[in-house]
This record gives sequence, C-alpha cells and structure tokens, in this order.
Amino acid sequence: MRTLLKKLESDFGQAVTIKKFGRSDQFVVEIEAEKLVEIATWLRMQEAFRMDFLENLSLFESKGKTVFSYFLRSGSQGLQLVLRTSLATPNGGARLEIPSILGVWSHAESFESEAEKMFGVHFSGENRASSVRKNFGLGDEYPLRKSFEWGDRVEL
Amino acid sequence: MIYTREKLHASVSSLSWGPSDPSLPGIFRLEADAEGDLIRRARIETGFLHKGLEKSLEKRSWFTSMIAVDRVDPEAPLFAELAFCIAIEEICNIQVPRRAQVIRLILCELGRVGSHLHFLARAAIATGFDTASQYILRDRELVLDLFELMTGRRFSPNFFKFGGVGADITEGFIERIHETTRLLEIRLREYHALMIENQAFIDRLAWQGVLSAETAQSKGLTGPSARASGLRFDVRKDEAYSGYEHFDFRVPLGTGARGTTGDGFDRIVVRLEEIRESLLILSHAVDSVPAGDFLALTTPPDFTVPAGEAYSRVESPRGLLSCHVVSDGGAHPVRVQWRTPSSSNIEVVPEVLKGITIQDFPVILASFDLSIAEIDR
Repeated sequence: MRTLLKKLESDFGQAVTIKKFGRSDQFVVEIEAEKLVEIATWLRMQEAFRMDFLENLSLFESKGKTVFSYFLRSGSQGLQLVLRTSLATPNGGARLEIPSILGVWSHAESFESEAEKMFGVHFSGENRASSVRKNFGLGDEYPLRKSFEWGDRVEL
Repeated sequence: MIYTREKLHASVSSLSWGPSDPSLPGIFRLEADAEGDLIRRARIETGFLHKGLEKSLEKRSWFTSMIAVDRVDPEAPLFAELAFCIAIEEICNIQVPRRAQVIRLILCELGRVGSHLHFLARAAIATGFDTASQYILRDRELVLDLFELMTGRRFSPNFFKFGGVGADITEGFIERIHETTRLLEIRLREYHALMIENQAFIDRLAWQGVLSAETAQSKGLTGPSARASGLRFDVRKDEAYSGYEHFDFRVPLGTGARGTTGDGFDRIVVRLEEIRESLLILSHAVDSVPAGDFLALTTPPDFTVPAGEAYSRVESPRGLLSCHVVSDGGAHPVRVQWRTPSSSNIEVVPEVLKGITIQDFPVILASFDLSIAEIDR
C-alpha cells in the first residue's frame, strides 16, 4: 500500500493529502472534487494495484461541508483505500454538483442514485442507464442533509 | 399483473407487477416489455416502504441506536448489529473479549443458516415445490428456537452490545446446537434429494437466469449470488473478523453442475452448501468457546462515542454488508451509513431477466435472495 501511496504522491503532488483513516490500518486520500475522475481512473488503472472494486460511497455532512468517501478495494491484491473529497453544502434545496465516477466503476450507479435522492447531489458527466430506479417520494427534499425538516413525519 | 393497451394492439406488451405482488420477493415494482412470452426489457423501482433508518439514527442516542440497526435487514438482523458494533468498538478502542467474539460468531452462523433456509423455502415455493418448502420452514423453526433460547427473542434480538454480547451462553444452548446441527445435516440430504436431484427442479433453474462472472463483477455483486458465478470473495475469509480466522471452512462456488456456471440452479446449490459449511463452523465453535467475560464494559444510557470514524465489513447471508460510522463526540451519531448487499445485487436483475419467459421470472428473482428491506433501509 505504501508503494501505491508514494507513487500517487509523486504523480499528483499537492493535489493529494494522505491521512490515516480513523484508528484502522487504512489510508484516506483527500483530493479536490475536480481531480476526482482523474485520480479515480489512475487508481483503477494502476497495473500493480488495480482498485477495481468500488465497495461503497458514503456521504456525510459536517461543519457545512458534504464529505464524499469512496471506499475502494483491489480484488487481486486485497488492498483497501478511501478516496475522499468534500464540497460546501448549499443552502435550501440547491443541489450539489460533482463529477460522476460511473465511467471508472460501472457499478457506482446504485451508490450515486441513492446519494442523488438522499443528499441532492447531481453527478455530472455520465449518462445513467440503470434499469433500477430508487424512488423515495421526497421530491426536492433531501433527508440526509442536516437542514432536513422532519415536519409531521414520525420517527420509527 | 396489469395488462396495458399495448397488450391488445401490438406484439410488444408492457406488463407491470407490484409494488405489492405475491410473485415478487418484497415491496417493489417490476415493469417488463415482453414479446409474446419473452421478456425483452425489465425495469425495477424501489423505495415504496423506505424506513429512513439512517436519518433516524442521527436523532437517536448511541445507547438506543441498536433498536434501529436491527431493522436494516429484519430477516438477518444480527449482521447489521455486528457491523455497527465493530465500527463503534474501533472508534472507542474497545477490546472485545474472545468469549464474546465466539458467541457473536455462533449467532451469526445460526442467522446465516436461518436466512438461507428461508431462502430455500421461498425458492421451493417459486418453483412449485410447496412440500419441500413446508419441510424447510419446519426446520427453520429449530433455528429460531435457538435464538429464543439464547437471546430471548426469535426476531430483532437486539443482542449484540458495544464490547460484547447482552448475555452469556444459556443453559442447554450448546447441547441444543449440537442436536440441531446433527439433525439439519440429515435434513440437508433430504433437501438434496427433494430438490437438487429432482429433474423437475433442475429443469426450472438450470441454464436459467445465467449471470457471468464478468457481469457480476462489473455490477458489484457480492455474496452467494456472486460466488455462484465464480467470484470467490467472502469477507469471512478475505478479511476475517470476530475470530473467523480460527475456523476452517470452505467457500462454495458455482460449478454449473446441471447447466452452466452462474445459473439459477448454482445459486440454490451454493446456498445449500453454505448451510453445510455453517453447520460445521457451528459444531466447532460451540466446542471451543473460551472462558472469560462476555462483555467488556457496560454502556450507560448517556454513553457517547469520541470524535472519529470507522468502517466495518461483515459477510451477511446476502453478501458484503458494511457500515460507516462518523461521530463528532456528541450525544448522537453524525452519520451511520450502510452498504447493503441487496442494494448492489438488485442492479443485475433487469439484465438477467432479459430473454427469459414470464413464467420463469418469479423463480429467477427468488434465486437472487434480495432483501428489499435492506434497499429501503
């Protein structure tokens, strides 16, 4: 893993910041959103490491920012890495915009479609063609944003 | 089933099932364009019974969060409990006693057996083998009895705690596990004769709903459905947790024994084989429960998790189940996010349904063991 991270640093320089992920042995690579597709493609295509499995896309909102964490796994090497970027959370119902990584990992669709409905994210640059539609019937309300109003809705 | 006007005037019919339909494995809508009897295109819509669990967890205290976690997959609730506990324990740096780890492993393998038996019963009903389904459901009761004996509950056990489990092994539990595993091993041979060696059953599933390893990989499929297509990934082996590394077990893969690798028949056989492996793990595990505590600490109602984050993975009966927990040190989680296997596994279904006949779609759907509750979490 350290070899991969060194190569990543040498190829992308200050565009990447590498940190430990919590208490685990994993690393998190923080990048700017505009570099997302380029760095994701680099990680996917590295012959020796080949991060070919996007295991998860998790979003959370903290301190006015929406943080996108892409949990990656190399099927052949068993290596794991978290690719992370963040965007300022817009006010009201305005949508966030971030490049789609569907062209890098085709199975990203189920994660992106959930994030779209739950966090109000527009994933740009790729056409969605999935035949599975996740419809939560909330229109322009994005329930996983901190600004979401519960209103008359009742918790379980 | 609703027939639309196209059915009357054109060779292509638009058909729609659900959201509530007995031929579907849950509450969702399936729309298909069919030419005669053949499905040419299928679409799926989910979200009709979304529970909003992840949002609900943002309001709950850490102490009461397990009640909501249990509902991620009501049919196999312990796996979500375990993933959540592992993540919290990592953030809090809690060392789980070895005894508690083995108890967790025993209950999870029991949960896998129970979930796979329920799957087999549903598959038997979908293929018209109602007699087999009755036998299987009878035997699943034995597993639920064991849950009741150990946790006090047959469903939603809410039994795993941060740092261990809610109670020690109850009197007679180990003897009952031995008794049940011996009986189920005999029953598995009966299911084999009733279903796997039955030509009528083979005809319904072999060569049907074939999913290649390449498609399974490109769609991010995990679990027994992926292993039936030849993908070996199993979190228990590839990234052992809760002491799985101390147990020797096989990861069954699809072989195309009666048709081709990755067909509906392989998805049934792999799960049947997984039950056998789980029974082996169970008989070894109950004989090797170490002495010691079953809980590292007692969490008070105002328990808080320090600022930080963790990501855990477990192998649920349907595949890779992972949990991302973020805390800012406050009274409630900032975020608890689940990666549930069915959310990814459902993506292959429209692809697999192309080219099959309308009468076969309930069988193919059943062979994927989707949990709509996991998707609408």
